[in-house]
Amino acid sequence: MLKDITLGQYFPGNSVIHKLDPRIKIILTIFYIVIVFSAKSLASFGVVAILTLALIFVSKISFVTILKSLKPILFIMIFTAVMNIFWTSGENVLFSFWKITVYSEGVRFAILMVLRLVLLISGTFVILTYTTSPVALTDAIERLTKPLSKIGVPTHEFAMMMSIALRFIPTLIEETDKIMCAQKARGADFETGGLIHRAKALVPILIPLFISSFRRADELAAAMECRLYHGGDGRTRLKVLKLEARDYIVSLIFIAILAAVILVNTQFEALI
Amino acid sequence: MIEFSNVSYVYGKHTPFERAAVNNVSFKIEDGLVTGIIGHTGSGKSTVAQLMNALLTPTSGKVLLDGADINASREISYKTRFKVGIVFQYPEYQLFEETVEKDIAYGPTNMGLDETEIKRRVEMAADFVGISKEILKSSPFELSGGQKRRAAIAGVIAMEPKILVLDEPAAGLDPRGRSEILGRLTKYRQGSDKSIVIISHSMEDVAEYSDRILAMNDGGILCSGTPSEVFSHYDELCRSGLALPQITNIMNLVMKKCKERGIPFDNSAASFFTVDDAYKYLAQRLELKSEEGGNTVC
Ligand SMILES: Nc1ncnc2c1ncn2[C@@H]1O[C@H](COP(=O)(O)OP(=O)(O)OP(=O)(O)O)[C@@H](O)[C@H]1O
Ligand SMILES: [Mg+2]
Repeated sequence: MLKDITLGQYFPGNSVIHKLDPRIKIILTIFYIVIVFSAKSLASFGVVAILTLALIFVSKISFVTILKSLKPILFIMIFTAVMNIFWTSGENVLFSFWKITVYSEGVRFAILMVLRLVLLISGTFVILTYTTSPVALTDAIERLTKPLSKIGVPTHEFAMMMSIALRFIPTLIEETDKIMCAQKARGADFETGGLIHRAKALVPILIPLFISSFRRADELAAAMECRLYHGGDGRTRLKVLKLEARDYIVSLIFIAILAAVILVNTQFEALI
Repeated sequence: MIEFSNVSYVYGKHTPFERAAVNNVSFKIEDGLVTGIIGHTGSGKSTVAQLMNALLTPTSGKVLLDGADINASREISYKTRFKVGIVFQYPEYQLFEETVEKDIAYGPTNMGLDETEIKRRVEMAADFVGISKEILKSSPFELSGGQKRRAAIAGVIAMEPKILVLDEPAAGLDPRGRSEILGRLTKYRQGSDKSIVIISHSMEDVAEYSDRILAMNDGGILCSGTPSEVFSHYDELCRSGLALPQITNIMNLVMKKCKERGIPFDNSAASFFTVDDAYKYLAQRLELKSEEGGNTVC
């Protein structure tokens, strides 16, 4: 059933990574992407790989989960690899047959590109997606984009909309499930027939769903107004984000890794 | 007849949110009777209802309709839904058509009936739940809560299921709406072998309208049988968060007090589950007393 879809993919946990300040996590994610793109040789990729493995290890996210997260980009990985192997020209011919020549540079490039993709996905997922609750994430986004509100961007409102939307996704799924069951009990059939038939069969689900969503939005707005919600100005928070020692330490580690990657890039260029 | 044989159901199997809702239950819903299902919140009543027409497939065990497994194939499951009609908890949220009439016709249309037959059934169902001609033509979203409930119930009755299952049909209605809907519903089976299953929190409703009662507790069956059999398990019912109908409690109390003072009181008072029965008995007693010369009233 619909319930089986896991949304947001957040795995609750208690690790250092889970506990990091979400604002720092967003910045570290961007920093991590910079690190991955700075790596230019296999050796420097090795450094990034060690960082990523360490992150996975500390966060206690299982490798199976990580592999699953890579599945959707499998096609892109294969495509990138093939493109690089066959369309890169260089000096050292590895082998050639018919009209195709494969250079060792191409193979090296393909490996690097695939490694880059794997590290990019698994690293950002471990730092952000898997270990940060959606609520913490919207909170952090609100705080990070706060300067924009000075020039009139309604950052608080956007963040509030986002957290409300996230809050209601499970409710909506449950509701859809219920309505589907009710219509099935009246003989609705969503599983057979052609495309048009199936699309038509969705009408009895979508209409009640829309109506109850509007009703719920109305009720929520009324409830918020009753509790004197008036937007972001002067609003204090239940959970005040505060940087801890671990936030600084992890940030320093990331900076050190970037330095190491740049160093390895320049020092060991000769090494493949 | 629906028969559950060792049926279990687990929600979210193989996920961190796994939860057993029904544990190894066996019972029968007999033809031509009104069966009431009672149980505390979360005891698995709604789950049992959905198992009855193959909306849920048992994790283990079998659900038989007239001796045949309803989960044998997709085809059979689909057909079962026309034989066992379920009115869900808060069914008003399933209305979707432009007019009440069209909404009631949704089920019969899915059954592939012809137009005259659909029209007949819509009229029959509307009449049955007490929906007037004007309401039939109006949009279901303009109706009051009680009218919506009726419209939704009519949508299932129009399929003329052999077994009608109602999950909390009277929840959130005013007292008059309650007794009217329940009274009409129990008439549904009159003059036929159709049966009705009513799921309810209200002991009074179940006591008044059911021929058989099934009491559930934590996904299992606490006891079952006729109302007097089930309500005689007073302690067990109380322990699982249920109670006797109020009137039965009062009659028991009165009986005890009377006996303490040596006033004769029929033992059958303990099996008055409806206000009507109790009233009849008391009225009879009072008249007797006044004829005897107006002694102390119990
Ligand atoms: N869709 C679902 N997903 C997961 N668990 C569920 C689902 N529906 C019900 N449950 C769980 O199964 C158990 C039985 O639920 P059920 O709805 O059958 O209870 P009920 O007796 O109908 O309660 P109520 O009187 O409140 O309607 C509950 O503990 C509930 O948490
Ligand atoms: Mg229920």
